Amino acid sequence: MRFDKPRHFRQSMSWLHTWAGLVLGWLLFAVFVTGTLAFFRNEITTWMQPELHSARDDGHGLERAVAVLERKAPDAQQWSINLQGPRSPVMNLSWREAPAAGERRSAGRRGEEGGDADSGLEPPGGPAGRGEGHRAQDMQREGRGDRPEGARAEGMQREGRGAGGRAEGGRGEGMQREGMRADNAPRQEAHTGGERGPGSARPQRGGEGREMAMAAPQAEPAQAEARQQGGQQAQNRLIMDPATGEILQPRQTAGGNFLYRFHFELYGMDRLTGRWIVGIATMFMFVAIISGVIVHRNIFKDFFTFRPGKGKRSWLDAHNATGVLALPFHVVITFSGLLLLGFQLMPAAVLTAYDGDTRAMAQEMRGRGNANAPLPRPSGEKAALTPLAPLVAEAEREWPMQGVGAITITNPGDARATIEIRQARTEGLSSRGAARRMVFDGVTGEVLERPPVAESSAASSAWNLMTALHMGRFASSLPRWLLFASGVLGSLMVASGLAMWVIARQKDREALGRTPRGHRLVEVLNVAAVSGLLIAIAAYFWGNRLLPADLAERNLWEIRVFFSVWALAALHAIVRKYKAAWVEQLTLAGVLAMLLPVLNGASGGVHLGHSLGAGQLQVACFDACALVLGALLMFAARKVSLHVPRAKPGTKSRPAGASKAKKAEAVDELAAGLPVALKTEEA
Amino acid sequence: MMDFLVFAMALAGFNALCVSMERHAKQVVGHAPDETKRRGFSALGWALLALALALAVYYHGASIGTAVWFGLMTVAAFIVGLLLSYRPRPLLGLGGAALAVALLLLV
Repeated sequence: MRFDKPRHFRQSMSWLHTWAGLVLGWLLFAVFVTGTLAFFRNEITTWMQPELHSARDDGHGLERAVAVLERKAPDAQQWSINLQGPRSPVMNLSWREAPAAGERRSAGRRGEEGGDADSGLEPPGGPAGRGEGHRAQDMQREGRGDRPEGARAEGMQREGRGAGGRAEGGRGEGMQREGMRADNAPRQEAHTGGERGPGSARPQRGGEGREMAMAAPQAEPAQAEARQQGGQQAQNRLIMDPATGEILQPRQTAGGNFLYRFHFELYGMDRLTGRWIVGIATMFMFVAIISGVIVHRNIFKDFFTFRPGKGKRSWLDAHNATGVLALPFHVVITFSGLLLLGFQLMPAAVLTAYDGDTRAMAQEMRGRGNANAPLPRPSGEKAALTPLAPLVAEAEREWPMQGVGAITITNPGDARATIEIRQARTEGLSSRGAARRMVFDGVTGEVLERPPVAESSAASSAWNLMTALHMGRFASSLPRWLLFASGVLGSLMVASGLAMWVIARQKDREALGRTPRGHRLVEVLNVAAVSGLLIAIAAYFWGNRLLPADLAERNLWEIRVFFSVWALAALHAIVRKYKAAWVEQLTLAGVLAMLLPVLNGASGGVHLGHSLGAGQLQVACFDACALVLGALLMFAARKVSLHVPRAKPGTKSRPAGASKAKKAEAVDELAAGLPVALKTEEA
Repeated sequence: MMDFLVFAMALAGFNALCVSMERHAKQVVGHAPDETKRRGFSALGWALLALALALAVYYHGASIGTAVWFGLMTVAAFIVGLLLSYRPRPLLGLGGAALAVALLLLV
């Protein structure tokens, strides 16, 4: 397009849509795919820790949990139990040792710090500046992620670094320290390794704010640090099979959190930089959505239209359909994505009103002024703890829809023990952080109080709504599946848009008689970014099972597998012809994905036949999805391989007619396509 | 179950909307129904979608209900679009069946 002539509005928009889409489309595809998978990051992490697959719930887990805690932490000041649930088969236990005098207050702070990670409130320099370890550990720490509820308990569980924890070193140093991370890593590992076997991220049950207790690896470096810093409170976590009371020691894995982290801050660079890049891409996405709607013209008229087998027309239809059908999703996910990165992209509000202290703002936004309140002191008298099951049952009667998420027992075994039971999730999306709680007397089991829930303001309701939507923070799994489906459509939309750029310029190339360098670049990047990424993700899961379970820095190796395979795929895309590269890569991705259930069964996981029967739905769904998506990829590969380049002049365009004729044509095309495709391959 | 009801309604609604469009009606029933019929289908389609929204909000509350409604609409419309492209004939039957199921569940 030339800029020296006036253009029609729609033409300009079309130009904008094409180029805004192309320039960041490759990145957007990666963001869409990894982000879509991240809706199920807890389930993915569970799959990647086959040690947990056989955990069951027999309804008596609570007694076992208390028994374990009594054995392991009889003198603890506080116990926390995160119940198993639809998103996690295991119970997560943690405790906090009684502190030395005067240290009680440092707990809440850290909880707040963690809570910011997900909401985009994390201070940009923070995680980098802490120099706490390398990226993979950062990723595992994601357990700190969504914890809408109960900052208090979280804060306590999360103790371990106290005052020294808030690296103020922040912004400027982030970059410099970045380089040191890799070096720091082994040291950190060494520090924490022997303590309880291979550490593992157990960031599960996200969404509903129950992840907090699971940031095991994060806890460990934190612990190590705490020791280095002069022995602050230690914290301890265990993962328990609710049906047996057995303590599970899952392998170390980067898990679903790697994908989650990657989708908004990429990898291998400063987080700040990564977020800026993704933020810019998100803005381009928004521009592409708006301009796309303008260009489309016939949103309602062409709402259901898809005309297969018509070359460029079909691609445009597919691009339009995937865009329009999931348009609400695209708009919301892009806009909320921008909001989540907003504190980074537009820091003015935080800088002026809070002097740059994002944590202070987060705290005020969520109305958690009392997060630092000290725990009640024990009386010193011994008293037996009341059984938990009846209390949980009572709480469940009170919240039939929301369920019970976590139990915190303060001063267990003391006459002044209290038991706090917290909702697993809140009623709506706009009330993040407003989980209801019930506090019971730990000896008599009487209800002491039902703390009121603070009403959130209109602004923070809107914020909560958008962020909760973006993160799929729903009680039931259906909305998450719907988000997932829309995310798949979104990925297809981006991919079809990218493919279309090449297809739309077919005529130019024919006229020119060769492929210009720019076109070739787009071709290579298309293959590498789309099918290459899919292969890399499949390989990431393969790596998870094929790497030795006790490998040091295992999580890092998984990530290395991911990027090495992606790089190889890119190389392959350079070496091979466009179509051949597509066919081979899509086939490989499909095969790798379809064999994942087999791999799962063969490498210690619960295989599909068993997991379905035994109600291990997290694992079963992963396998089933791998099968279905793999099959779709194979189907796509076949379609591409059968594709006949646009009819040469001579074979006139087909009469657009009744569906029967179309079907017959499609069959003809399939039949005719094979030899032709083979011929072109040979040529 | 509730969600399935909402989904069935959305599916039936999109079917009706699809048939209310001249081009697609030809694909589905072979000929274009007359103007009044198409108007009727259109009204039925929108009404079903609106009812689906009302039900979703009733079951899930405003925020989650709307999100679920949009999500289910996406899936339903996608199914209708796919069928229309490859197997248009059974669409009307499917729409009717979905409507029947929805009404049954509603009662």
